[in-house]
Amino acid sequence: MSDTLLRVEDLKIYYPVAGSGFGKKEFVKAVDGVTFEVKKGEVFGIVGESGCGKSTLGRGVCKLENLTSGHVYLDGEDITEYNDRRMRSIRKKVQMVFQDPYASLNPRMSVFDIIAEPLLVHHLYQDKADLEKKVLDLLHRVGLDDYHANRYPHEFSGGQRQRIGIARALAVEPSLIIADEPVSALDVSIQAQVLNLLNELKHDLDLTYIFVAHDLSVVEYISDRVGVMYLGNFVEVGEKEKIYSNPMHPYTQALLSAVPVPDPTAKRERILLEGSIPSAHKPPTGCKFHTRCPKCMECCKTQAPERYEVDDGHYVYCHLYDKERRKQQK
Amino acid sequence: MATDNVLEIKNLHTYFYTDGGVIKAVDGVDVELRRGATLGIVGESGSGKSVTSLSVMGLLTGTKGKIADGEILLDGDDIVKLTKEQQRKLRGSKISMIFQEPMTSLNPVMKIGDQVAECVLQHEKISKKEALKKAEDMLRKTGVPRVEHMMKEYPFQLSGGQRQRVMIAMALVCKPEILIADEPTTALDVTIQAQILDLMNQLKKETGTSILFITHDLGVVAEVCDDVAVMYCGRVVERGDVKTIFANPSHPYTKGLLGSIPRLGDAGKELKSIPGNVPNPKYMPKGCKFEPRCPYASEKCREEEPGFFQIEEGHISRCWLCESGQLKTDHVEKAGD
Amino acid sequence: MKEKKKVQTENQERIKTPFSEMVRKFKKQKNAVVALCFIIFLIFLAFFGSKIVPYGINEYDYNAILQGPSMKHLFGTDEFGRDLFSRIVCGTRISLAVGFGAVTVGAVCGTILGLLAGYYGGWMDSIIMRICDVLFAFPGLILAIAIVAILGSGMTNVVIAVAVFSTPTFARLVRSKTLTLKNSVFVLAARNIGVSDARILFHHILPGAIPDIIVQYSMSFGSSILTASSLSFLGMGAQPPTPEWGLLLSNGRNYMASAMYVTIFPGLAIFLTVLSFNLLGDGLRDALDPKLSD
Repeated sequence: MSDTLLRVEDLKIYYPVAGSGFGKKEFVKAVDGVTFEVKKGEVFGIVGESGCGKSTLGRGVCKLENLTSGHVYLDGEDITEYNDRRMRSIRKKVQMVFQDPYASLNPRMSVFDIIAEPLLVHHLYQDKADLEKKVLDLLHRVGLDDYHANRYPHEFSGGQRQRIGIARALAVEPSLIIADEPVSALDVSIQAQVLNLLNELKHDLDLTYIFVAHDLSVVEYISDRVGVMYLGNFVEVGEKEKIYSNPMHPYTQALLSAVPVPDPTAKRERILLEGSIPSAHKPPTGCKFHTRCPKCMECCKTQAPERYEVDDGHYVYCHLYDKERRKQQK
Repeated sequence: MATDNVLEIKNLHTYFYTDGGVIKAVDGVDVELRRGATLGIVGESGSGKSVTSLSVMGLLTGTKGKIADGEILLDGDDIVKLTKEQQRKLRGSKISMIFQEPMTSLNPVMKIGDQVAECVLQHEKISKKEALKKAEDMLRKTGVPRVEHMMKEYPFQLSGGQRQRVMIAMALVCKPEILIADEPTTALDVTIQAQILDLMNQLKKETGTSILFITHDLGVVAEVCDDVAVMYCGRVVERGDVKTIFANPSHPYTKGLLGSIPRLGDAGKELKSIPGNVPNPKYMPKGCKFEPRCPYASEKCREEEPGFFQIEEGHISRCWLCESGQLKTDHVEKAGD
Repeated sequence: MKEKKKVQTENQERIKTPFSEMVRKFKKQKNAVVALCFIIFLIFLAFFGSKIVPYGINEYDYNAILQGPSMKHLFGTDEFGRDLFSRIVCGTRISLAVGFGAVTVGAVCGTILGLLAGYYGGWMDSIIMRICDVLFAFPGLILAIAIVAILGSGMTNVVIAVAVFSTPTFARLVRSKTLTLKNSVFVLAARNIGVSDARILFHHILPGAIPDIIVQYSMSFGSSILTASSLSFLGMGAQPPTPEWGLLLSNGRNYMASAMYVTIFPGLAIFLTVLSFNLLGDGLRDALDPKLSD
């Protein structure tokens, strides 16, 4: 299993909230037992609607959230229990690109200082001239010019800021980049630029991505494998081709049919889901999707589905694909 | 009536007069909204699409913006010339608007039923009871669950999708001729977006309201619009019916936009992004505003801004390549290679 | 050719640092600019006032007791025939020094306490904030009087007293700013890079709190001068014959009926100085507020 870069086992991230009862602690189960693997050199897309826990999962993997339970293995090394000090060496391997390019850059630092910071922190330069050269190289790498270095974030457009954020992430030469909605705040034409840049960098620098997004088309474009999340759990994981051409889980099917297609001549059957996502504070029992599922069965209301492998590497968390149960019913 | 256009915007210019100078947010918008149809205004941030809608609604008062030039014809009457009071009477009764943020566009300390009824009371001389009845009927039409309860609830008790339904009910309760929808689904999730788009299409059929739909999402445009106007730097650069624009775009910006969206099931293709950024308003190009990013730009584009050229009936484009009046698709494709 | 020219202008556009933006916005605040000029004038007087005044501060002239303003004595003379103008000008140094010393000490202590309380939270936060709550519970002047009563009168103790009562203001301010910035995405981004706590505190959070500290500094400067003068007025601060403004006011009080100017001029000096610092603070607040662009 040497080609597995990241393995996440039964990861749970709960936030405490003020309970209704006295002294009783209640939790928002943002991530509720997630298991997946990311292989070297692939792009693993995590897709889901707002509040499904995809961003928390992304941040949890690089330990920017407190993990409640479960394990995160990076390159075979269990980093779950690492404290901030020990994580510092890990940060050279895992970097994040954030969603909001306006908030993720310190407004009081020049672009040069922002990109130089990871180099300074990890002592990845020999002398001042070397530092300068490295920062300028990074700027060129993401398609910016020398003269941008002395400017401040507020002078840049969203797309340029996101490029700065990417340059900062690349500075430590990581092997895994977790991109949390990196293009959702950008305009369409700029979005394409950044997606292409990410693709290009991946090929040039042998990077692995975890790409978190709500936009199904964007995730399809960039990913090799995709995991679909709903209320803190994966509902379906598999190769992108399989998920998009043959979605198995009722939620994935509904999600895909809801995406507006930029083709006025296309006619499609749309599965309209009723209601909205329940709160992660008090999720439904059994399968969390059963309240909105068009194919809900009696067992879904009480029993959480297990992981069923329907095809090579294509996993679905749904009772519909339980072979045992099917046999019994027949 | 001589025309079947319920709304015509002619050569609209809306400028913002700030301390730093004049910002030409809308600088040449010409669109026509046919009765009972949906017109999509597409553009990226800063293209002036929202300012256009605010200009139509007469909601620029209180900002530094002013309509510097142009006409907005509602049923043939220019509403720019109306007094503020006359404009106010139009809002809600003949034109109404729904906004992007369903979280902040409702008054947090007013019950849902009262908010919807208030719109009715503002424009019709009926009793509070009748207004509430109307509000309830309208809410039922928008498909909110448990209407009787909902009438007595406050906005914070509703989800985003439900709030947007309430907004739609408020906008349509006085049966306006025109509904302006400014990015109504942008803040919503795809599954909820699908519900709302479905609802809007259905209500349009029932009430015959014409919709001015402002969005940046070409997918949404393809789903709900009959006509499209593409905006760039405060100008409409291309206009036509939705099928023509998507099948046969003639302006390089429209082409670029269509090329840069990833499509479901089409992931193998490389995205053709538009290079560069939207020009800084301080350094607006002299000629065509898209020239610095345009792969087909020539000397002429640099020097002189093009006007509209008709490509075929109802399809016009602001590009020198379309000058001769016919679509030069072949020429354009060659230049791109 | 033309295109090249255009690109150059955009590239060569003046770099807008946060500081240059602040200066640009500050210049638009007319009141604050006037206040700043007055403060600069006061600072000049504090340094060179004693060299330019026509009379020494303790130059007695028993032939000219309690004289009204004239060309010879611009602000008149006091009960010992000392030139009031010279004394007030020389008093500038004392007031500014007290304000500067007290507020600087208060700001430094308060900022450090606020950073620690806000960033680490938990018991450290509880202890620091409860102490601040206790200090806040006393009216400022009463607290200062109490401290001076314990330490004994004298200018050094006044500085300490005023410093103690301005510390919690800074601590609370910096703590709330720290709490906001601690959860900002760019601090998360810094943690993601592996930046240490100390560097996050001093490189990312503190610079973000500096604008608020500067505004508060200016505001506190005014109120500190007022408090220090009040203590002297009550006889707990500067002792005669120091030309402290509060003390001048206190002396003049006895002659209010016959020679009003002996109280008016020191009072005016205090009033204008405090007002200028408050106006400056207001101006800085507007200039440093990122939300108020243009």
